[in-house]
Amino acid sequence: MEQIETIATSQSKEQWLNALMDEFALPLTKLAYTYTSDWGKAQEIVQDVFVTCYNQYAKRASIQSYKAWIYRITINRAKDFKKTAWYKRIFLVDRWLEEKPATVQIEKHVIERDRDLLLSEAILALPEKYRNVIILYYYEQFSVKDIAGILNISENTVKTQLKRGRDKLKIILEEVL
Amino acid sequence: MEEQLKNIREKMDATVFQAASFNKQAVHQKIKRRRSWLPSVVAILFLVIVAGYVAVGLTNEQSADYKSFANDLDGVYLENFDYGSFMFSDGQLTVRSPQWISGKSVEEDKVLRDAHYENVVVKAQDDFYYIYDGETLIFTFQKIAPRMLVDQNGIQYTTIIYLGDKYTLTVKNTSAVEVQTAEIYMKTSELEETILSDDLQFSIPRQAHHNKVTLTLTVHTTTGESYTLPESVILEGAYEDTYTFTLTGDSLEKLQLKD
Repeated sequence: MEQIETIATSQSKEQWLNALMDEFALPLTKLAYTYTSDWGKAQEIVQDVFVTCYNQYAKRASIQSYKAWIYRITINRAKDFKKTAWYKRIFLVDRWLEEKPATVQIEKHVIERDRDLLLSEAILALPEKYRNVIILYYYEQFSVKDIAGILNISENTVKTQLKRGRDKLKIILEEVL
Repeated sequence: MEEQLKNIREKMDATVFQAASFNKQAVHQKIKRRRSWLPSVVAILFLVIVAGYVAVGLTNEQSADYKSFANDLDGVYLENFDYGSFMFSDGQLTVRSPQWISGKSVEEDKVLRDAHYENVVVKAQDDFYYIYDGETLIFTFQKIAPRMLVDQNGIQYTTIIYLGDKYTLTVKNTSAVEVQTAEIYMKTSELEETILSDDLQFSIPRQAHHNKVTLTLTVHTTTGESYTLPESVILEGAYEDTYTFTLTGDSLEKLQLKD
């Protein structure tokens, strides 16, 4: 809360940007990573997000929730990234490989790693729409209303996707545990 | 499941998000780069019009560091948040209006409208790209940075991937040493590679991202001697398409590489 106030009361464009980065850089990079599976690309997306924010400085007074606003920009940017040929060339094959033999991969993990990792990777392996709401709700602790605003969907859709996401996770985990 | 998800933050931070980091300095650098670029928009627009339509064959001294090739745009997604995007794919071009309303004031007549072209041909000359649908010229872009183009309206578009996967480094030999062949040992945070050349022109692979490139030159003389220059050349950013260095010195051990 204190950091959000620092952002709102920043005296200069640079201070404002630095305060935004102090508060959001790392969580946004993690969020972008859920799309890219590549830390370099995730950083690049978030860097572009902050450049966009910097250019929006004059409109900061109209921002009601910095967190919802900047998460929305990041998600849109990450979605755009997924449309790039680079992503399609490099990542779709990997992602396909991850999704197809999910059981096999996760079984390996059960032996090699612990349950936290299994659950975390299962979340990342969820289809985008379920993964988004699970991350935003449980990891970022946004309200259903905020998530609806960020993803531009109805609150009922958020609730439905949360339930289906949990159900899918449960199925994955039951299969391997 | 609900219970397990309640403290998922700690679990994910300790596992899949463990490697998370962020380079804030890179944001400042990007802003600085854009800021320094902005005042030249008018000049570039002027050059686009003049060089593009009036004197196509004229060499553009101002942007000589960039070179366009027709296949640079294969599979490229160009975007301007406020004006829209271009997706080049398999001889087709999809143009989309902006997908996100930033609230910034825009020049409405320059905002892209949804369109799809199926018979797209890209022609490249100097640092320009000419986009044809069949035989009709539909868009013109000028390359102003390895991941940045400006269209015929002066609107800047960026892409995540580099336009062109190599850049050229030329060494002009003004030294007293007769160089027969040379090699450059290239090192980035991601790779190490040795590149050979018999004309002192090196084609350096441009990786998806590397901010610092260290290049060490070894020359082989016509008399059979070899010498590795003790001082490496460091390229911060490696953003240009062409680099030229000069080799000086009156003997093998005194060779120096200067930019």
